[in-house]
Amino acid sequence: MELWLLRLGLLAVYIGAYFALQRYLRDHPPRFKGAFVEPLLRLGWALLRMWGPLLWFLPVLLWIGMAKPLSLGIVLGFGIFIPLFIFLTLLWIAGAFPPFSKAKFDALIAWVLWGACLLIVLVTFVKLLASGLSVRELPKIILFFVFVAAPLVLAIAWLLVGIAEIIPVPADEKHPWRERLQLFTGFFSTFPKPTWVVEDGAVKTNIQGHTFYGVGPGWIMTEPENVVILKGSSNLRRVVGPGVALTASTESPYQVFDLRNQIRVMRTTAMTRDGIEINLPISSLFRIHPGPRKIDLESLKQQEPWPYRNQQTIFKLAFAQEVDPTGKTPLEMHQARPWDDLPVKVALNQLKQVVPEYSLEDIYSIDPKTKTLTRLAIATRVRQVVKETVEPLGFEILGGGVGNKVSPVNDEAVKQRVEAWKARWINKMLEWQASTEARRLEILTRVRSKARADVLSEVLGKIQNLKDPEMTGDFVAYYLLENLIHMAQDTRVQKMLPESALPTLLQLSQMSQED
Amino acid sequence: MNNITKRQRAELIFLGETVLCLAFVVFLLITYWVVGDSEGQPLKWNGWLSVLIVGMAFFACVYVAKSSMWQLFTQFARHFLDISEEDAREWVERLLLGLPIEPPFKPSLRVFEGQADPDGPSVMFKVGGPGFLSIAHDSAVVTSRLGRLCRVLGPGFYELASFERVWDVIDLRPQRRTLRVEFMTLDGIPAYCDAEIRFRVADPPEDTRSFYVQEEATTPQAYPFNAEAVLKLATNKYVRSHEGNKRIQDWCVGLVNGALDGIIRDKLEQYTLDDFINPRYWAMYQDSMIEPAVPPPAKPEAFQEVQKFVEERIAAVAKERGIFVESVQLMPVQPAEEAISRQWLEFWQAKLQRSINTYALDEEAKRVELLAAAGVEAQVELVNTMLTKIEGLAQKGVKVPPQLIVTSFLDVLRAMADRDLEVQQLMFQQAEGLLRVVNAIRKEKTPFGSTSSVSTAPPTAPQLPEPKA
Repeated sequence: MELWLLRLGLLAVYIGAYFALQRYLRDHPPRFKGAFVEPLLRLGWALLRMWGPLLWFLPVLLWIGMAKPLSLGIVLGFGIFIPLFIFLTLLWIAGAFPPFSKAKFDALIAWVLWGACLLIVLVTFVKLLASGLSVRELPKIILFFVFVAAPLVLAIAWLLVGIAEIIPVPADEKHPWRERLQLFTGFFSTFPKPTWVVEDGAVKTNIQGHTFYGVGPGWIMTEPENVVILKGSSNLRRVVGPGVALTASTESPYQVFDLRNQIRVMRTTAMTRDGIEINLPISSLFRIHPGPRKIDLESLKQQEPWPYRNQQTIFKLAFAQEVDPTGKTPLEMHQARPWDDLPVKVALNQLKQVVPEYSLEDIYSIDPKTKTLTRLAIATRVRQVVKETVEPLGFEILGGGVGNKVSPVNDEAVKQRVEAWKARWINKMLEWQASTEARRLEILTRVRSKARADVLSEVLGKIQNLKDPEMTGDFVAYYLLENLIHMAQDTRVQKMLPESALPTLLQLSQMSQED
Repeated sequence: MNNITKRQRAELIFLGETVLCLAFVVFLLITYWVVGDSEGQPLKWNGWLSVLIVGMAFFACVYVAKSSMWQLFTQFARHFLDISEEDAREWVERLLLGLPIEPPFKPSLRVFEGQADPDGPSVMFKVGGPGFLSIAHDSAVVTSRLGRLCRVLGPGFYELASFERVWDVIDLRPQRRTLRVEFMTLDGIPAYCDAEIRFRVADPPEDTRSFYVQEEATTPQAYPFNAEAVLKLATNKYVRSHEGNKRIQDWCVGLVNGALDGIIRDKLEQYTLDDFINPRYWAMYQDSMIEPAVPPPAKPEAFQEVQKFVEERIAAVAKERGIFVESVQLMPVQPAEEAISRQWLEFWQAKLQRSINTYALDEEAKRVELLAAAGVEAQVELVNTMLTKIEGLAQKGVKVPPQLIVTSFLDVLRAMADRDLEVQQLMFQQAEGLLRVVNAIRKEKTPFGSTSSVSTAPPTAPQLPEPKA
């Protein structure tokens, strides 16, 4: 059979196998199954999953017979074991090698394998030299080595470029490349250390793994407003964030602390001095003490993290969390209440102590000392106590108090007040109606009086205007009667007069004329 | 070297790979052409085919090296960032090759109407860049990158760096919110007051504003963008609880439910309900009474005081937070429905209204009517009184002397003056007329041989009652 056909077939197999393998690996990504994976097996998986897809041992077979010294043994010796040696070295750097301290036997095998690769390469090299390598064949051998090494070097270069982009590590990390490589390799070993992301204030595990024995460092990224306490095997280790951090062996997130402003509101009942139970709200506005730094455009430019005073503050807050089984199920009763419950809890207790000093009347009144609402005076007192109690723990109290409506638990107390108000209101209204009635009568009297005066004035005015200086009583009487008749003839006036009025007046007028 | 972009770097690598492959093939061909086969003989056609196959294999190896590494990155990124296979592949491509320099610019996340497009690329939400960010004229964005706040971006089109994502969006448009403040009055009555506030992100300081001023020919900037205020608003939110949809109190809620609610309540609770609900005042106010009841009702100035106080306080609080308050409007204070029902209030208000309508003397028509009625009444009174005095005589057919008529008139005047101050005043004013009447009687003999009562009066003045005032 023609060799070139074999070579072509091999190339086709190589390309076909590569695509088939890619598809398989895509559908079967490395998974941490929870069970312990032997250190040697981890190394095997890392080797297989990271470098296996290169199928580097297939294309080198094309070189068999391509040059005089390139026998099957030499091609396999170089073509398989040079890359294998490099891969194992990389995996060693990446921390995938079993540690002697924990798995002596596995470590020994791994190192024997690494040594064997090196030995085989050296032996093959000696064999190559011993095979009478001529100068004529040297370019072919060099091309063979380029063929073996160049794709490998490219792959490693891509690997280093890629992980530098994909895996962010803290800026102050001493060996960022190694840490990245270890983290990356750990994932493909199927037994990595976990990676976590804080989302909406909760820790979410993205890559499952083993905190203690997993390969590589762990990785955690917080939101800009969070810090996370990492716990070790039996103690709290350190505070990380805001930002990215690598976790060491045994480290895992213990608790997330939100550095933003917090507000907690509760409603409670308390007894006033006069024995009325009232329902009142209590609120507390606080945050973890930010220290001297603040967030502004300058701090953004400097890429400074969200400010908090120091790690001790966070630890203090963590240690200040209380176990209070009140209102909890038996399963939850051993859980500590979160740190952010503390201020409002303190405020609540203080409020219950302060309220009994006041009567219900007082609570709705204005405090004579402070000239403010008693509710606000109570809030100030409560806030002061909260400040004194929780600020030493690392809180900064921003505000709080009795911010909403205070109402008696029993509606009767309100009803009484409302009824009293209604009665007062009705009374006021009736008073006003009475005063308005009096006013109306007064106005009516005034109007009538004025009308009367107007009528008389009109009559008198006409008499006064009479030109006759020798005016007699007859004339005046006649004139008066004429005026009265004129008035009485008015239909409106006529309606209000007795029927006999007008005839009488006319009769009188007649008499006075006869005279 | 640090200045080259990712795309330039990727192009360089690609170029290097191609050159390497071509160089390898060229050298391979030259070597075998010069050296020949293993026996030193020139290659035959099948030998050349083998050489070409090796050259092709080198190309394949280089491709496989690169492709398998990318496959590893995709696998890793998919789990490391918890994104889909497709998103991971595209993200890795963008990360290593850079963003496209020609359209279509994908992935692109749009921010408009104060929020990031919920239908935008999920990877942009979860991981962030590399990608594009398009911010509409009505929004501003604060970005974060790897757990640190990164940039404050106003309206425009931006490239997001790797892992840079939208951390918060601030709506630059004016906001209007209504709020019901429930409170207890100083006299312990539950009441409420509705309030309305209009506000927006504060303007940039004067010295930086020129940066955003557009040329006259171009469209002016719709809403002012103040990076400092936007950052302040985004970072001063309050967290209400650990869980739930509304666990974060955004800047609008913070101002309205946090600050405004407290300011209004703290002020309103310093007043009694009567300070706000004064029926007499409101009735007078609504009906524009000219002559209010006596004493005049106290004007409820409390409401104006509260309005002014709230406006000043909320403006100050908002300014500290990077917000500009355009207006605050308080609605009338009402007692809580469950305490004092609306029917009750309406009933009493209606009752009040009836009496107001009855006594609304300011209405000109009623006044004229009343005056006319009073005039008629006065005329009737005069005629009636006169008739009462002389009607009996007239009906008996007895001749009534004119003096008697005039005397009766004077009697009527006297009687009226006794009762009515206005008439008394009139007497004084009309003294001359009266005197002429008296004189006229004096010139005649009395019908009964004696002088009338007026005859006893002094000759110079009529007998008039003493004025009371």
